[in-house]
Amino acid sequence: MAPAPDAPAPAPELGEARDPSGRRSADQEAQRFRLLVESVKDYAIFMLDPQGNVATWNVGAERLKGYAAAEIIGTHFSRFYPRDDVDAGKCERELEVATAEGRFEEEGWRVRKDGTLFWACVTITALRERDGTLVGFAKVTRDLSEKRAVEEKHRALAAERAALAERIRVQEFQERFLAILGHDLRNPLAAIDMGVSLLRQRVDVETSESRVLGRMETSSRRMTRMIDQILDFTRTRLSGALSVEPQPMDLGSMLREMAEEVRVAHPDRVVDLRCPAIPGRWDRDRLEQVFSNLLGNAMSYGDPSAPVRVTALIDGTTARVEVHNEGPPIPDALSAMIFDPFRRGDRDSREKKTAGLGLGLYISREIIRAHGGDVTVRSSARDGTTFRVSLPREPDAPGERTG
Amino acid sequence: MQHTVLLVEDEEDLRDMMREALEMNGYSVLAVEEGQQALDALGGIEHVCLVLLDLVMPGMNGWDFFEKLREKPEYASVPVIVHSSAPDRAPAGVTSVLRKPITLTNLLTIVRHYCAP
Repeated sequence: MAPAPDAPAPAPELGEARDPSGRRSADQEAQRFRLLVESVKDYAIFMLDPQGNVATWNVGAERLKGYAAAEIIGTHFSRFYPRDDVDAGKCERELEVATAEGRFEEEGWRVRKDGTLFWACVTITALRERDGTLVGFAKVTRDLSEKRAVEEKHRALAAERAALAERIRVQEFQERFLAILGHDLRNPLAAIDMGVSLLRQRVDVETSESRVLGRMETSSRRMTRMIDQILDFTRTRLSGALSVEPQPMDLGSMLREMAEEVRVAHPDRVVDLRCPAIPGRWDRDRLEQVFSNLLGNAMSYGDPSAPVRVTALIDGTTARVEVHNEGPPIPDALSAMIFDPFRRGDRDSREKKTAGLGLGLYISREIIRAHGGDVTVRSSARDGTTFRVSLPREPDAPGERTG
Repeated sequence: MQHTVLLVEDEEDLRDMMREALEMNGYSVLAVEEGQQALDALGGIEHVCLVLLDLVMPGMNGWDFFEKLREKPEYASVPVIVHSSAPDRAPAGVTSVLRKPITLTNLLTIVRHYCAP
């Protein structure tokens, strides 16, 4: 680019020299260009010979890649590529593309002398004589690590925002679902329940109408229980645990009251209870749910001619309760998954009588675990079936989950 | 003096059933489906012996109704029984909280305690 005729004379430049005609010689131009390239700091600009060996090196290349000119010139440019790319033949492919199309361009990982990676924008241009002979390649590399880091940060932020929006959406859906279970399904059932009770006030006992009402009552109670169970199940799945509110109570007196209720409801059965006073801190409503389930199972599946035995004792800081029944054992196939939700094992023989959802024992165990305890079962033809519950008498903080 | 139970419940079947149950047992009942209707109805009732209040309702909900009711000096001491499937969210200061579904026996026991048939 020649200065305009009236422009002030440019400041003296590196290697400034003019021939007698006032024009710079071709050698001088080449020299100036070489100096320009060599002094560029932000770009690695260097030449490769036709085989891909480094032929020239500039300040930018040294800064970017960490090699001094003396140690890299003559070395194959594959040294700048990650091992996997070299093995995959990437270097040769790039030169082939540049040879065939004149130019190769990409963004990718490159390796510094110290082995660290940086994200680079790379251009390889084929250099040819006038007659088309390939004399080598010009390679320009720019470090885009910072740009890439910023882009990645933006991408991460966007992903985080999307994930948060998704979490909010799921949370709203869950709350709506729990509201439907807890409120919308219960209300019509409450109306049915009350209607049945009202009619019962007016219908004589021991009539077929009374028996129909009895069926309606049983069905509506079963439905209520199932909704309660689905609600509990959903809560355990959504929040990871059931909430319990431990208060000071006597487990022994609770079990005595429950055993008495069972005796009143089943005067033909024997419930044998051995249990001292067991003071501790538990959620009474929730424990009643557990032992009502265990006692109910023992009554349903146990040998009607043998007593159901409930034994409770204090073992240091733990309360232990066993609920035992004689009779046919839990089938092996069912035993392994007896605490699984919605279990389907051996429905015909064992679950026909109650036709529940298969959630009772699952929820019972969740309640015991929310108190920091556990429940296990042993069953054999000789010894009958025993559910063993252990409950810390003072649930520690992790046991007192809310949610 | 006529003593009336004010029943505020948005679920129509349940509302009718509860009204029916109370009337069959000799109580006077005014049943409405949300809080604003309940506030409007108050003026026409000679003596409210008890408010049975649902919480989650379209229109004015149970929480807002309870607040507005207590702002009226003449209703400051009327017993309010919350009847809800979210009993743990009942507003502070209500007389008692019942978890839905309530049985007929419990309903009659509660109402008998506060109102003469």
